[in-house]
Parts: sequence; structure tokens; C-alpha cells
Amino acid sequence: MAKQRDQEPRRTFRLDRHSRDDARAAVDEELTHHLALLEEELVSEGWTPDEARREAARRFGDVDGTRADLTTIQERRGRMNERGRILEELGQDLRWAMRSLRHAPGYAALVVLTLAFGIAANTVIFSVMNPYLFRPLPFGEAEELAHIAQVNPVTGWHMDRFSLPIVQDWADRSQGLEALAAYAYRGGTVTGPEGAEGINFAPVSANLLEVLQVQPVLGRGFVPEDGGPGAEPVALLDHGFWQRRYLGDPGIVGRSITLNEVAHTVVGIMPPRFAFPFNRVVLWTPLRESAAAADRAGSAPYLAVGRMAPGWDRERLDGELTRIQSELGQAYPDADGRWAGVTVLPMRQALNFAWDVLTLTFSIMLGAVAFVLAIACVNVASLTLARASTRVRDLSVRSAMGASRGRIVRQLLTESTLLALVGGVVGVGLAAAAVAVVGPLLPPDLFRVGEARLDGTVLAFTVAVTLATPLIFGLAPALATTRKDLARGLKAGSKSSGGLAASRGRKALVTVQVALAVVLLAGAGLMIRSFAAVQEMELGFEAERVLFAEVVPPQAAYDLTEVRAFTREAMVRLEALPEVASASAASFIPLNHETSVWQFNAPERAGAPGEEWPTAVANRSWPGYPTTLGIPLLAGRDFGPGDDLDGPPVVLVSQSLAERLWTVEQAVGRTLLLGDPDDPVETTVVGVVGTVVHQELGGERPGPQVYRPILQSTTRRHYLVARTEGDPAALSASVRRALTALDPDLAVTVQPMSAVLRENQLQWSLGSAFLGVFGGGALLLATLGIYGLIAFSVAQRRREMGIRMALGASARGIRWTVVRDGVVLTATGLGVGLVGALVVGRAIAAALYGVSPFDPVTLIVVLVLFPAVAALASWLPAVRASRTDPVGALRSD
Amino acid sequence: MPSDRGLLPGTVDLVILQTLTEGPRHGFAVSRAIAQRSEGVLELQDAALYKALHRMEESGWVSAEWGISDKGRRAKFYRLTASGRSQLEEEAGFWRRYAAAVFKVLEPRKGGA
Repeated sequence: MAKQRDQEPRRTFRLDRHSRDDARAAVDEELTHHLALLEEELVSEGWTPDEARREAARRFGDVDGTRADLTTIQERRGRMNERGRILEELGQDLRWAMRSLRHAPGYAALVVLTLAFGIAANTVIFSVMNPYLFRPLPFGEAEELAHIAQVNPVTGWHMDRFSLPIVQDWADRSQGLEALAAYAYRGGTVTGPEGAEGINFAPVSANLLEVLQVQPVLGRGFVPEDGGPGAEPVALLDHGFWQRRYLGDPGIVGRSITLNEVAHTVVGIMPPRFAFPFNRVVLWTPLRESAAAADRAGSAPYLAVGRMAPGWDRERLDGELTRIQSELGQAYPDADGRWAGVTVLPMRQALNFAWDVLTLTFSIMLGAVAFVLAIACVNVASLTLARASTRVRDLSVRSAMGASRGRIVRQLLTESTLLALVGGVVGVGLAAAAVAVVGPLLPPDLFRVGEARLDGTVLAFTVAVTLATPLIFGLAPALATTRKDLARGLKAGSKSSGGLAASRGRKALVTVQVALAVVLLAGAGLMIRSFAAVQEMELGFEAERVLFAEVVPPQAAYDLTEVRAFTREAMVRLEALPEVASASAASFIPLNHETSVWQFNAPERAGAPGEEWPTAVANRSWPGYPTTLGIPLLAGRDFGPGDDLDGPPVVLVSQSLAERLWTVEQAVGRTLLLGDPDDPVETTVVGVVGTVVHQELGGERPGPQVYRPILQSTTRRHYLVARTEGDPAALSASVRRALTALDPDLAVTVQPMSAVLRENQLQWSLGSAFLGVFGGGALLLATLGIYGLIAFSVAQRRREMGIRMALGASARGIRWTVVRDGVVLTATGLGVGLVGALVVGRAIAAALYGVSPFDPVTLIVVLVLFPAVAALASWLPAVRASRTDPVGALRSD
Repeated sequence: MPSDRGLLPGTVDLVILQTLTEGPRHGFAVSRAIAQRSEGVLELQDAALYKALHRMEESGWVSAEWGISDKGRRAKFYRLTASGRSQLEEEAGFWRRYAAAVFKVLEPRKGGA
């Protein structure tokens, strides 16, 4: 028994040798020990030391080999142990975190909800951005695609419509383009047993699908024989359109459908996600025009998209095409010579006509939700710090039991991460609900890939955001709490000193939070003020109670005379409706994203070089258009039925144009030169009308505008407009009925003007709604932060309050002290925030309308709002403090 | 010197584990205990002993700690773990049944059929 006890190790060491060197050293030591004992035994048996050493090694066997084998085993064990230890500690930390959170359900719930709000906001915005900016384009190798545009030297605008011969010349001469396809898009009507339906379709080069590297899911794509004049008309259908209109019947391939009165054989169905050039185009036909026969300088309806040859990038292609264009400019000075260089755009940007507004809006929103998340994290950090200060004792015990600082920080971080993960799950749930609401509100005309929804990319983003939050809200409090010598935490009375340190930390956090919230609220204020300004803006026409209808009489069924007769008859039918006050027609509707520009000049300046001729937004109108739209007639007369092709060319000019060349009073009867400066049309001004906002709400003040009579043109396409007595939306059905009664095969799209206006305001209405919600949330979080800190500090200072009361301070005085503390607390944050707000205001200036980035109203509201909110948040703790029982407070502790 | 009679395959672990039932031991003590208990009949080469000890440490049958030996030196002590104990019982049971069967076969037959 005694002998056995002798063999018990007297003292143990931790055996966690796992590094390579440690394993080798341990094995060495063990074997040396063994050999030494063996040697000693042999020496005691009478061997000489030298012989004993040799004999010991001989009896042991292969010492070196064994050493190597044992080292390998120990190294392997070390690695396994390390892994096991980490897992085990993680398990411990998790159990500890869950146990400690169960004891603080209020804290846990507040943290989870706060984080969920921040994470949900980020997830919603990211899911909305995703289909526009990030989701892969539904084309093969999309980064090799190049969209081609030119810059109009007169207007400075991007121009991306070309005539077929120009596109053909580029394709022939360019080395950098592997292939180049031309396309256009327009409205059309599909008729048949399924009913008449107005759609958008795109006539495309037969090689378009080859350029885009897309295959139909059913049937075949276009082949060269499908294009050109005289070919059999064929069509490819959009997947969604096929599902909806033809109920996904695969038998449609090979059958004939009627587009614009012409039978087209359906040859294939495109893949579900395919969208080109935008989502509302649901049918594709091969171009039937031939480049050889087309007029180079004439109609230029085509856009051009190409695939770059291997080794080429956009910049290089840009250079090559610019060179080619200048050669073409010399060969065809009348056509190509009028245009400057060539710009090659990436696909996503080119297909999205509102790219600038879109990216700006998304940047602002993403910035806003990042602020929201930051505020949420700061709020949670403050809560965590408060909680940690009440746990100093618990942590000190752990420290005393041998847990290292790193280990304790890890434990605290595990708790934070657990909360963040729960917050992330709740946030994703909230986001899914919000996306379901927001998704359908998104403008349908902008190019996007699929719908806004929570897909893998979005979830990966959310997981990344979620896992980043504990590093922000958990790490700093964990480090701050463990910085002090935790051993001291065991001593009685140290509770309050830990509390003081935490208090200082929380003050800093509340300052940050207030600053962030001020910036966000100021941004929201500017956006809301912009939205208000946009709604009140003078449009120059009356948008309410105006309805417009797009009708495209098919070329095959209507010649020009018949189109005019149809329009005249449509007017009669519309004006016969009791709710319609007047009816007219125009080629373009204000704010409907279609603009035509002509150059103009007074005859006495006709000699000026072409590029010096000013430009005007041009429209063609039917008699009665100014009255119907509520555009004031300032001088002269409107067009009459006699202003047709037989009469002299007449023109209506806007006030802005009249004042540029003459005055409103002098304008009537003057001659105005319009169109190509080399060959202008000489027109007579018959009237002056008010200037309208035609292009965009947010732009500069509208410039010169001209109207020519539809009746003096050969245009076939125009919108019918009607002024209604009551709510125009209620009249849509009867207007549609009146028009389809004229021709049941006509597709009619009726829209109230107010819908167009709302769509134009979307940037500000969505912006102010989003920022308003986020700003409100930020304000709420900041209020909670202030409240939490004041309540905490009042509780900490209970003794002090007791003494003050005992010394005769009034309840009122105590309340005032506490509320003042609360207001003072926000002062620094408010100051920093206002500076931030000015910086951010400047950054988002492009998205504002009618309001300066330094808008005093917004800044004053914020300046007053925050101290008021701080006073409110401190009121409850102040009341509690003023009710302190002096005797009780002095006795406790 | 006894001639070299190596242990049967499969019995090395068994013998080592058995010596550890008496308490934690370092390698040299295990080696001596085996020699003592088998009165020098069973001889286990030290190289094989250590390989077995480390292998069993990896398998979790024995655990090891560094301690101070009765001679005042740092040594690595091996201790039988719960899983080592059950392994030992299983193996010992097998060898007992095996040895009994071998003895039965070796016993002279009593009476014929």
C-alpha cells in the first residue's frame, strides 16, 4: 500500500503540449527518464557506466525510431485535443450564455428586437437593390457585352438610337466587336381568341440571342433566314407572357399568333428570367428591314448591343469605335458627321434608363439603413455595458477561478453572438414581410433581373451583417468590462466603481447614438421637405382630372387618312361621355419619359452655325390640347381643324421660348425656323402657351418648348387625352369601352395623369417614406438610449439623491437636476450630429428638390426635437428620483 | 538471461492495462511490473511498450500526466481511464475463455466414446 502511494504523482501539471516542439520535448524527456533508470539499475548490478548506457539502449530497442513514432502520435493527439478543446469551450460558453440570458429576459428581448429592426432594414434595402444592381444578368458572360451610345453635340445628351446602315458599318469595320446586334422596342397589339392585348415587343437582329448568349427553353432561336424583307414572320415569346396568355401550352410553338394584324409563327419560348431590353417587353421578332435598303440619315430607331472579342475591354472598344465613327463622319458628312464620339456602356447601366437616379437613391437608402444598424448596435452596446457592470462580481469569480481575460471576453462575445443570431432570424422574418409589401411598389419600367425577394445572395449579406454586429456591440463592452483588474471586483463595494466606469462608457455611446440619429433625421427631413416641394411644384398643367389613352392603330389596317379619321371619331365619342369636359391628342405626354428635341431660331439669326442653334422640347398636338391639359393660352390662338397639311405651317411656342426670342405679346405672327439648321422648316407662331414641366420633376427650370399640329404631320402614333369632371380613375373603363367600340381589335391602355405624376414622384415619396420610418426608428432608439442611461444613473445615485433630499432639496429641484442632465447629455451628440447632417446633406444634394442641403427649417426642427425628446426621456427617472425616500436611501448599501 | 519470448499479438495492451489497475505508473515502472508479475517469463521490449502506451493514450484507454516520481524526477505517469478499464475487462475475458479452451484441448482424454 505504501509503495503504491509512492508511485502516485505528487503534483500534476496541465498536459496540453500540442505544438510540434513541445511534443518532441515531452517524448525526449520520457525516454531519457526511462533509459536513466535502466542505466542506474544496471550500474547497481555491477555494470560500468559506459557499458550500462550501451546495454540500456540495446535492451530498449530502436530508440530513434520509437522517438519518431511517439512524436508523431503526440503531435496528432495535440491537434485533436486543440480542436476538441475549442468545441468544448464553445459548448460551455453557449450553455453559460443561455443560462445567463434566461436570467435577463428583458435585456435579451430588447437586444433581439433592436438588432432585428436594424438587420431587417438592411435586408429589405438589399433585397430591393439586388435585382437592379447585383443579381447576375440573364445573359451569358454579361461583362463582355457592350452597349453603344453617342453624345449629341447640341444637347450634350446620350443618344443611343441609330439607323441600320450605321450599325452595319460598325459591325463590318470593328475588330473589337465579335458580333453586333441592333434592336428596337415599341408597343403593339396581340389579337386572337385570348382577346386583344397591348404589349411591348422588340424587333431584333437575328443574331441577338447569339450576342447575348441565351437559348430559348422551348423551340429555337432566330436564324439568319428569319430576318430581312420578305421572310416568313416569326416570334419568340416571353416565359411569363406565355404562361399567362397561353397558359404555358407547349403546343404554341409552331402555331401562329397575330401581332399588329400580321400572323407570326411562334418559334420558341425564352427562359423565365430572360428580360431584354426591359421587363415589359414580352415578344421578340426578327428585324425585317435590310441595312442596304435603309436610309442612313433617315429614321434611326435602333439601339446597338455587341459582344466584345476576346482580349478587348470597353475602353479599347470605345477608342476603336470613335476612330471608325470619325471615318464614317467623313464618308457621310450629312448623316454620321453630325455626331461626336462613341461611348460604350456596360449592359446593366445601359438597359436601366434611370441608372443615375437609381444608384443615387439606393446609395442614400443603403447609407440610411447602415446608420440605423449602427444606432441599433450602439444602443445594444449601451445595454450590454449596463448589464456587464452588474456582473462584475460574476466575472471576477470566473477570473479568480483561472479563466483568462481572453476566455471571459470570448464568453461575453458568445452571448452577444447568440443574441445577434436570434435577432438576425427575427430580422429576416420582418424583412420577408416588408419585402412582400414593398416589392409590388417598385417601378416596373426599370430593368431588373427577377423580383425583389430574399434569395441566397440576400441571406448571405444578412448573415454577414448579423455576424458583424456582435463585434460592434459586444466586443467593446466586453473589453471595457474586463479591462479592470477583475480580482478587485470580488471586494465588497466595488459594484459602484464598476458602475461609474460603465456610466462613462454609456455616456459616450449615447452621444454617438444621438449624433447618428440627428444625421438620419435631418436626412429624412430634407427628403420629406423635397417630397412636399415636388408635390407643390408648379407643373404648368393640371395633372388632376386628366386621363390619357395610348392607341396604336396597326399599320396594316389603317392608312394615314384612316388614322386621322379614327382620332376625330374617338374625340367625338369621348366628348359624348357626360363626365368628359374636353378631349384632344398629343404625340407626347408630359413626364411620360418620352422627349423629342428640335433646334430652332429666329429668321434673323438663321446664319448662325448649326451647333449654336438653341433646342426646344418638341411635341405635336391636336386642336384643344392646351385647354384639355389646362395649359394657359397666353396670347394668340390654339390650332384649329384648318391647320392641316393644306394650310401654312404653324407653331405654338411656350412662354419660355417666346421670352427668349421676343416677348409674349410680340411673338404671335412671327416666323420661327424649326428643325435641321441646314434645312429648317419655316413656321408661323399662332399662339403662346404656358411652359410645362415635361422631362423630369427634379431637373432645372424647363426651357423652350414648341408644339406643331398633328394634322400637319404624318405621325401615326399619339395619345388621346381627356379632361374629366370627376375622378379620372373611375372613368377609365368607360373611356376604354368607348374606344374599343370603334375597333374591338385595338389594344387600349388608359392611365390617369396622376398615376404618371406619382410615378415621377416615386424617388421622393419612397425616399421620404423609407427615411421617415428609419429616422423615426432611430429617434425611438436614441430616446430609449437616453432613458436607459438616465434611469441607470439615477439608480446609481440613489444615495446622493437621498442626501440632497435630506439636506432640503425640493422634489422639483431634483427633477430639474435629472432632466437637465438628460438634456445636457444630448448636447454633444446634437452638435456632432448637426455637423454630420450638413456633410450628408451636401452628399445627397442631387436627390433633393426645392430645398437646400442646409435647410434651416429641417435643422431647427432637429435642434429643438432632440433636447425635447431627451427631456421627455429623462422625465420618468426624474420623477422616480424625486420620490427617493432619504432615510431608506441612506440606510441601504 | 531468459531467452527472448515475445508476447503473443494482442496481449501487449492487455498486460499493460492490467499493471495500471494498481495505480498510475510511468513507463519504466510498467516494464518492471510486467517482468515481476510474470516472473520474467513475459518479456516486452521497451520500444514496443512505449509505442503501446502512446497508442492507448491516443485511444483514450490511458491518460497521462507529468508528475514527480518517488526518486524526485519529472516523469510521465499513465493512468487507466474508464474506457481503458472496460477494454481490459473485455480483453481479459476473451483471453480467459481462450486459455481455458486451449487447456481443455491439451488435457488428456478421459475415457472414450
